[in-house]
Amino acid sequence: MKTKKIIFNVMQLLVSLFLCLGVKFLFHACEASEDGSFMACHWAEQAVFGVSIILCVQSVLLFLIKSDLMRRGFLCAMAVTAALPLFIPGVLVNLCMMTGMQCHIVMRPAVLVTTSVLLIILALHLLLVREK
Amino acid sequence: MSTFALAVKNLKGRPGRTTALTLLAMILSFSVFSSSILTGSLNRGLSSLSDRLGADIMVVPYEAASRSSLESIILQGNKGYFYMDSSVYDRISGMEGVERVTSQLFLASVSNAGCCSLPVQIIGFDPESDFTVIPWIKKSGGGEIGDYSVVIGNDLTAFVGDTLKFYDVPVTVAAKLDKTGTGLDTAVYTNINTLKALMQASIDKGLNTFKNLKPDSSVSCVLIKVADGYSVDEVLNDINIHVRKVEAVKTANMISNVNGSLEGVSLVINVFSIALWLISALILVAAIVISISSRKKEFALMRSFGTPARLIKSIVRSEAVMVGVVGGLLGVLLGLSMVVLFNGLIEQALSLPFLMPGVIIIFITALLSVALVCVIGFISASVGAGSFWKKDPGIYLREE
Repeated sequence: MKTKKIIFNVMQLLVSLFLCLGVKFLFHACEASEDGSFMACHWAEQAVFGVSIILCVQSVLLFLIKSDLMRRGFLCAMAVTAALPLFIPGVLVNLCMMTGMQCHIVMRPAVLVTTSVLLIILALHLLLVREK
Repeated sequence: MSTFALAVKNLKGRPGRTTALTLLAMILSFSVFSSSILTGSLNRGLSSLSDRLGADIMVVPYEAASRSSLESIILQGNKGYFYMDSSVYDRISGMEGVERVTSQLFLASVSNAGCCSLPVQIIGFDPESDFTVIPWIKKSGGGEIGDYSVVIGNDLTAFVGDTLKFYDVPVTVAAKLDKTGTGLDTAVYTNINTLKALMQASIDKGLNTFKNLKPDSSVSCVLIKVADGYSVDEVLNDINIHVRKVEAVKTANMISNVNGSLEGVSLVINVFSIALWLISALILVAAIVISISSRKKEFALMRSFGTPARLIKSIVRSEAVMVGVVGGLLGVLLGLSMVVLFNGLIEQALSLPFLMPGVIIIFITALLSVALVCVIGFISASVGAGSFWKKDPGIYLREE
């Protein structure tokens, strides 16, 4: 049971780190315009980056929690934070006007998939520590 | 305990075996679903392009006539512009075999046009004579295009009523076109008067010189619909011989060229997916049959306790169908996240017309993919379970 919890913790931390580094280096938003100005999608990238840092910190803090009750509460709070990036690109923060741009075809789907994977891991972790 | 509950217990009791079978079912379902969606999208893109081009012949300045540059502008939405004197239009209008003729004027916007960090292609058409853009606008539910109004392609995320600025000239979005799956989706359409005003604005701002061409007496291309009773080749040759410094191109050739590339890509996708499909289907069948054979003693024990053979067969089939449903759904989910979410990236990588099917078709394809995996699982389980009931259960129990 304890090993399973650690495995889930590690998976959460890895996916959060992937989101954090990925949104900056792998599936980032569009480059700046020729005049150096940023499009709206850049701020969506920054917002996802900020939330992913919180997710990383939460994943690390989860290693310190021993009680299942506290773990359940913490996981619920983390699930809410993890759901936020689903709505950042394109809903809470606008993306570029052309749907063929990098932010539409790479950043948004990659953020959706990564966040969904994290939510599934969180749900399975919650099932593991559920009240028997 | 019901058959279903027994099957669930059996699956839970052997997590390793269940996971392996589910993964195989997932791969099978993913390959069937994603290859169907990919090839379907390519075919829809081509048919949408054929509907969209409308004209039989396109006449462009001689220096712009290399097929690759024309195709890159029309199919991939690459920005470019070329101009010729509008007298070409008058000359072609009077030629024999020409039923309808219209002209278009191209202009590429500067980057950061209030929307995108990349420029967009602006196409000016003549509403009086047009027969290629207006039917498409009507099909998309748009009305008449007045001065300083634009119609935008489906890949631009502005909405009807929004104001865009090109070269600091504000224009209103009058309609948004249906998706074609080609580069035309990123273009902006307006009437020729507005485009001339935009060209003039770009000259005034010092961003373009257009080699001292006057916007009022220039066109970028002339589109022709050939009259009944005349062949396209006949009119095409007539233009190429009698009109100087221009090149007439058959639009069907452009489509057939795209069709050739599309058939090649479809063939590769189909061959790979059928190979993957066959391999995973065979492995799934073999894995189910072997796993049932390895449980001979378990079933023989059940038989010796008086469990009817029919019930055991039913449990085995239920297990296979359950694995098929879970694996199939996971495969479809994986396919949705790869093919549907990343369709823009796939479209860009293929550089071919790519138009995703609607939600209903995707849903039906998903259902069929899951059903196929379940049927394969059911048949494999029936074959595996049907082989050893003829012998006495004691023979299996005595085996080492």
